[in-house]
Amino acid sequence: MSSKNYHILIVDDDTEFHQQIRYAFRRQFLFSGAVNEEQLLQKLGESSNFDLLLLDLVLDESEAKKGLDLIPQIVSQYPELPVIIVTGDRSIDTVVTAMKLGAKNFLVKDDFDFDYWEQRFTEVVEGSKLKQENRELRAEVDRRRAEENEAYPFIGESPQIQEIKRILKLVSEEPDVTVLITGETGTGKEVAARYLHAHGARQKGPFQAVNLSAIQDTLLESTLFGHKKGAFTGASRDMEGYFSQANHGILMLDEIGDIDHNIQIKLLRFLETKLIRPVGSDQDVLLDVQVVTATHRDLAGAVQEGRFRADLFQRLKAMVIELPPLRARRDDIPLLLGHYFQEPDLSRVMTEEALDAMLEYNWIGNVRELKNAVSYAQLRARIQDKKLIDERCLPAEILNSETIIPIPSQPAAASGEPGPSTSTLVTTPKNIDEEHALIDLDRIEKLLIQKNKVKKDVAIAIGLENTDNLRYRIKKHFDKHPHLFANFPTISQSYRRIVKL
Amino acid sequence: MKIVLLVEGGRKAPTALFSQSEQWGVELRPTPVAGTDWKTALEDAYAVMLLVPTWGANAYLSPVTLWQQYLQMEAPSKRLILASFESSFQHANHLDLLRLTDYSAQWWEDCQPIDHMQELPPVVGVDLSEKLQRFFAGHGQDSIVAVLSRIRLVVQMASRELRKMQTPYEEIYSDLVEPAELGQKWREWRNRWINYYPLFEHTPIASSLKQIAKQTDGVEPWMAAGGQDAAPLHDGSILEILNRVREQLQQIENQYVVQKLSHTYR
Repeated sequence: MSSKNYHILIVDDDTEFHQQIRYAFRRQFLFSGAVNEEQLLQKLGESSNFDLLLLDLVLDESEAKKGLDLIPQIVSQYPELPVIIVTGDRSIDTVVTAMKLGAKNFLVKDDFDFDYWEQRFTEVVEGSKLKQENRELRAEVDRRRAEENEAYPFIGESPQIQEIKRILKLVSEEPDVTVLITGETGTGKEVAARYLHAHGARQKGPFQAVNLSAIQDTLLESTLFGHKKGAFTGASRDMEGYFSQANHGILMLDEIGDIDHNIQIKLLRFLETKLIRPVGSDQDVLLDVQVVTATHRDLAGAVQEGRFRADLFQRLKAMVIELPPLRARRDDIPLLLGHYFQEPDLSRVMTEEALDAMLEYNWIGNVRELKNAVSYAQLRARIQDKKLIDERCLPAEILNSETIIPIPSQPAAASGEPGPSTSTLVTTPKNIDEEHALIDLDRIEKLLIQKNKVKKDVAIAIGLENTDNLRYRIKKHFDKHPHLFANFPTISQSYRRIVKL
Repeated sequence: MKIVLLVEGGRKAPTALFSQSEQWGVELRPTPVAGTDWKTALEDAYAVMLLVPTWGANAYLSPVTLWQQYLQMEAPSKRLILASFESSFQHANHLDLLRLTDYSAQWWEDCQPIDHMQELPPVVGVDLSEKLQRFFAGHGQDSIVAVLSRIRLVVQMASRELRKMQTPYEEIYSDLVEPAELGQKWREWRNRWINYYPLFEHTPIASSLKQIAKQTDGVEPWMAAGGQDAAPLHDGSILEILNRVREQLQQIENQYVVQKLSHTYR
């Protein structure tokens, strides 16, 4: 028995029927009544709290089925109010007409059966409420998605960014093309992917982003493609992977250059067939997912070195979008600062000197580093009780950005470790790449000292997502320039395995 | 001999018809249709002969369409013979009672079985198929079923309250039964029944209507008293009778009316 107390509006010219229905269902439902069209419209105008409308077809002494004419009007004006026809007319043509006009059910008075009617009333009300809830949930999902997109705004008015936005909008009209976004860490590859999602045919679908380098190799396959219960130790239930979760939407695979050959093969298969196979399953699953990949690696180089499949690379580079580093679009720095400070007039939040320092800084961690620097500066200003952020509130590396050539931060004797011989220290970089490596490693070195060698804090300060990324970044520099390690004793101590490589 | 069931329809068939029938090799069996025996007899019969128009409720009536429908459903190979004094009635299955000698044994052979029967011209008398439609579907003052369904609705609700919800009958009576004025509704039902019932005395539904009449006699005292006694509601007897009546009426409706009309009864 229902105890939901749904509010039902009965429309019938037979007042005796009103009274009988109210009596019979008094424990289950609340009732209001109308005996003609005028009263019905009046009641609907007065209250929108009805959960169900029971509508008779004959509403006066004539045989005319006025109720049929009312159905479309009610359905269009009150789409969330379900209508059940309750009448004496059982002819098939009337039933079909009423249902076509939008009635949810059709009950004949002569066939009155308490349990059956109660069940129908409840089913129709709850079915309608479920639909309404689905609509509300859908709206909530859209709202959250819009909020999410607002949280990742693609800020920039420099010519480079304007051109990239134009290209992304064009690409967004092709919901099946695979997109490869390249650029340094922190340049906003995920932001660009979200921009593509927000402006394209898949905007109503989900957006899933996954950093492949942050997932253990052994878990990557099941994380991406899902697994069946019992597929491996610990797989206690079926689980959807990122691909399934992104069905009808976009899946962004960040750090695509880091995946092993096995995953490369499976990704290639998906791109060619749209099929995935969860781990432990013997069934393929067909999905509709647009794949956007991102990397800061040189994939062409990785192909030449045999670390990345050439056929997958060919697939991925169907559309390549390269994001410029922040230092290549310094015009956008004030806009970004205005956004993160939530104040377009920067003179109200920072001194001119502080702004100049930020404009001149190289931002190797790009937009992510800038965002972190803003948070840091705001916090420092609060601690120092300053209304305006000045240079002293900025992270040390911004102030010291003129130090291109790094100097060992502490004497070897003080650390108790054998220090590098000064003769091995690099003081003049050979090329721009080595210069960048020196700048970057110097910054990491200083931060390691500043943050008491807590790698997580260093990663955050630089604007990296995790310590794996920091380790990767250091390793990348030393792979290319192994002779530099002598310049950075703190890094050497903290990353012995990398340095020894 | 061909056996032919004769439905005289409240009138007496001329004796000449019987004597003439023997010469045609036809055994005419006067058949009252208020019982159910005729349905068994129909199995061995060659045809059903209707003396039209029939007479009932002080009016000439035409049950032809109802008989046609019945035979179409139950015995499509049988013949429906219409015997009348209407010489102008032109049809292969019409027997003109004023010209019996004009017919031969061959005429009987040539009569059309019901599933191959030409369309019949209108027969004199009130068309009972139309009356039956009103019986079920008529609005306002016409429908007999409308009144019965309103009574049944109240009885069903009251019976459920009493038996399942164990609501005190005083409360049910004062809130539901008394306002429904069952006594008055029942009188209305009886009046309408009396108007309809004699009309169908010579139709294939006569036996069903007779059974319904018998059953409703059983609820008469309770209804006439306005449903004051809880016992027949408690033991379910009233609802059982009304359900049986409803079932029988539905059977008739399904056979003769449903799908033919868009009707309304409230």
